[in-house]
This record gives sequence, C-alpha cells and structure tokens, in this order.
Amino acid sequence: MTSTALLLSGRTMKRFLRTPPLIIIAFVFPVVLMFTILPLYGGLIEDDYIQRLAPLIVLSTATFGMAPSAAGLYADFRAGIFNRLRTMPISAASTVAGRIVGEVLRIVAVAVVAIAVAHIPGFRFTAGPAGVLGFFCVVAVFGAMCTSVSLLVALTGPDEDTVQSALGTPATLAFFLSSGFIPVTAFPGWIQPVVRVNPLSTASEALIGLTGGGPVAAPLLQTLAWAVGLGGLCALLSVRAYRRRAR
Amino acid sequence: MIHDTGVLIGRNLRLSLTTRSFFQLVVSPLVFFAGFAIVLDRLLTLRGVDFGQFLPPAIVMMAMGLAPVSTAFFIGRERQSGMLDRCRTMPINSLSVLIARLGTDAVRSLIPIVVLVAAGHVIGFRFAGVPSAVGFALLAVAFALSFCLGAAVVAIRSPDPESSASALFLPMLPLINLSTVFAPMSVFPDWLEPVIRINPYSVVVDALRALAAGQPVSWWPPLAWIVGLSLFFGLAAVRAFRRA
Repeated sequence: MTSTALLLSGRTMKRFLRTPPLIIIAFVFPVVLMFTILPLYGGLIEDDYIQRLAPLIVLSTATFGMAPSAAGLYADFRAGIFNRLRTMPISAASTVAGRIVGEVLRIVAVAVVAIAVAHIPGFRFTAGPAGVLGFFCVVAVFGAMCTSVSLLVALTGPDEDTVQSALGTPATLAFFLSSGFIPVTAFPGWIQPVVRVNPLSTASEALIGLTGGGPVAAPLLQTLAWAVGLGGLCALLSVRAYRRRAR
Repeated sequence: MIHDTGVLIGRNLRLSLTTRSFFQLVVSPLVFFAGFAIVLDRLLTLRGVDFGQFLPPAIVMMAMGLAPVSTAFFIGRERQSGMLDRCRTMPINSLSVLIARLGTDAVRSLIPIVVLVAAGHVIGFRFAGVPSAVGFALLAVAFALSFCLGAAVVAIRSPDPESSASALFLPMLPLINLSTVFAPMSVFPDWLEPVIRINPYSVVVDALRALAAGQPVSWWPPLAWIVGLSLFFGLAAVRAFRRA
C-alpha cells in the first residue's frame, strides 16, 4: 500500500510540475501576496510584521490551494484516471494517501521558496535548526489537513463550481479572521474567540513560536488537535466516499 | 449591429445565471466586506479614519478589480466551445461579440456595487444625494470595463484561456494593496508614496469617496487613467478580435 501511495503521490506532483501556469501561480502568488501586504499592514501594525506575515503566507498556500486541488481532482475524474485505477488492485486508502502526500510535497516546496524570499525583507529563524525543522513539519501537517478537507468536499460535492466556491469562500474568511494577519488583540472583542480557535491562527502562532517569537507548546498542541480531529476525520471519510464513488 | 449586440447580451446574461456567478457577485464581495470590516475597523478608526465612509468604496474597487477575471473566463470558454467561430460564420459584425461581452460585464459589475452599498449602509455609509450615487456607480463600472478590455485581449490571444483567467488575479494584488484603497497614504513608507499616488486604484477610489461624500472631485486623474487604458486595451482588443 505504501509504495502505491508513493507512486500516486509522484503522479500528483508530476501533474503539477508539467503544468507551467500552475507552477508560476503557485510560486509567484505567495511572493506577490507577501510583498504587497507587507508595506500596507506593516505600516498599520508593527515593525517586524514580516515575522507574522511570512508564516501566514506559507499556510495560506495550503488553504487557498484547496479549491484548485479540488479542480485537479475533477480533471482526473473527467480524464478517466479513477476508472483506470479502479480496475487495478489498489486500495482506496492508498489512492487517497497518495493524493494527500503529493499535495503536501507541493505545499512544502512552495513554503521553502516563500520563506527563502521572506529573508529579503528581514524574516529570520532565531530558534535554531530544531525550530526550522519543526516549522516545516507544522506546514506539512497543516497542508495534509487542508488537502483532506478539500478531497472530502470534492468527492461528496454536487459539481465542480459549487465545490470550488464552497472551498474558496471559507479559505478567504479564515485568512482574514486569523491572528497570522493581525494580532488577536487588534480584532474587535466579540470576534476574538473565533480568531483564537481558527486553525489558521493556531498554526500561525505555532509557526511564529517556532521562529523564536512566542510560545510553542500550546499553539502546537491546538494545531495537532485540529489536524488529527478534522484532518483525520476528513481523510477517513474521503476513503469511504472514494470507495462508494468507485463502485 | 445594435440588435445583434442586444441578442448576444441577452444570451450572455442567461449564461451568467449560475452558482459560480452568485458566489462571485454576491457572496464573495460580502465575505470580503465582512473580513475587511473586522480586520481594519480598529486599526483605521485609531488613525482617525471615518470607517463607515471609507470601507465600502474599497470593497467596490476590489469587486471591480475581479470583473476582468470573469471576462477572460467567459471569452476563454466561448473560444473553446466554438461559439466564437460560430459567430464568425454568421452575418454579424465581429465586434458585436466584444461589445456584448463588455455590456454583460457592465451589468454584472452593477450587482456587487448594489450589494456592497446595501452592506455599507449597515456600517454607516451614506451618499450625499442621488447624483452622487449615480456618478459613483458609473465611475466604478467604467473603471471595471477599462480593465475588462485588457482581459479580453489576454483571453483571445492566450493559448490556455482558463489558466490565463486565474493569472489575471495576480496583477490586482499589487495594484490594490499598494494604493489608498485599504489605508490612507500616511500608512505607507515615504519612498512608496509616488507609486501609491499614481496608482489608478488610488485615484479612482479617492474619486469614489469624494463622490459619495459630496465633496469636490478631481476628475482628471481617474478619467485620464480610464480613457487611456480603454483606448490602449480597446484598440488591442479590436485588433485581436478581428484577427482571431
């Protein structure tokens, strides 16, 4: 099962690497987003805003990637890939796992590039190599969670348009209502509880902590709880939905 | 030609009645409105900005900035489905296809303006009078259309129209963020000020805010941008459509 999953994740990656517009958008979008948000919100908030912004940009690659990733799945349906996989002795679990691993590799690759570029306006890791490693592990775990959600919605949704909107709109809301964008205390009081539980906030705070800018343990545990709870549930349900669809 | 254009606009509008359009024109502007209202309220009010008057024109600019994406999307689809070729075999002027697209986009652009002005009413946005509201809508739509023409050129010339539609989202990010759309000039570092000042998003949003408040509007900068862009993209679009 593991080897099949790896093979299929390689396919997901290759499909991405062989679509030049997708690559350009995937790598350029986060960088453009970062450099255009920085002077605006950097002026509104604090001097080292890049330490807060860079983690959010990296994570938003995963959240804003949910809708395109669902579109990719629909393209595969149309191309008949799933019918073909169905005729082969491959378990549904390895197909789903392969998809998740492939998307996570893409998300981490974009994260590495975005973080490298973020060093220009002054982003720094100050918590040692363990912090750097932990940083990208959190990005991977968060990416796996987003991919599972997108898979489940794509597999159970009515049609491509609805699925894309249903994934894109919450991703936008989560971006705004996260403490990766502006600090929790800058939000109006009534919305602060929502901001605090937003998985994009907990993951941002964990990443900020891992760069040496705050507590690590609490946001890390909250992020893991989200990943295991929501991500695990969606992954399991995706396997079921996939089996049902394959029948 | 006017009749052909009318028929095509009717067809385009009927094709617009989709879930995607509803999300693009109603849900997503409201999501952005709510998001920016929550994020920016405290930060801007602290700086003495009248937030109720400030925010709705900003989100209107954002919705107008997204209009070209759907222009490119629809033209790309018509090209792939063969509708453009079919129009060419018919005894109609090839430009009526382009004009009909823009007419449709003008109608589509009005929807988020109405939605956002209504949402703005809740946080205290008011027009100085009926003429200021009409001027506001006309200026916003004219601004959207000048960029829609650019998108039409991209869509008709690009080999892969669907991905060019999503790439059109990219230039909007620097244009909208490095402007006075979301924050007053004083927020930005001094060295960026010339860029912010000349940005078409800045001059148009400043004019929209002045119009809404009934203050004197400096018409030249926004009109120069809109007319200039429309002429430039318009000529390119006419050429591209004739040749395609």
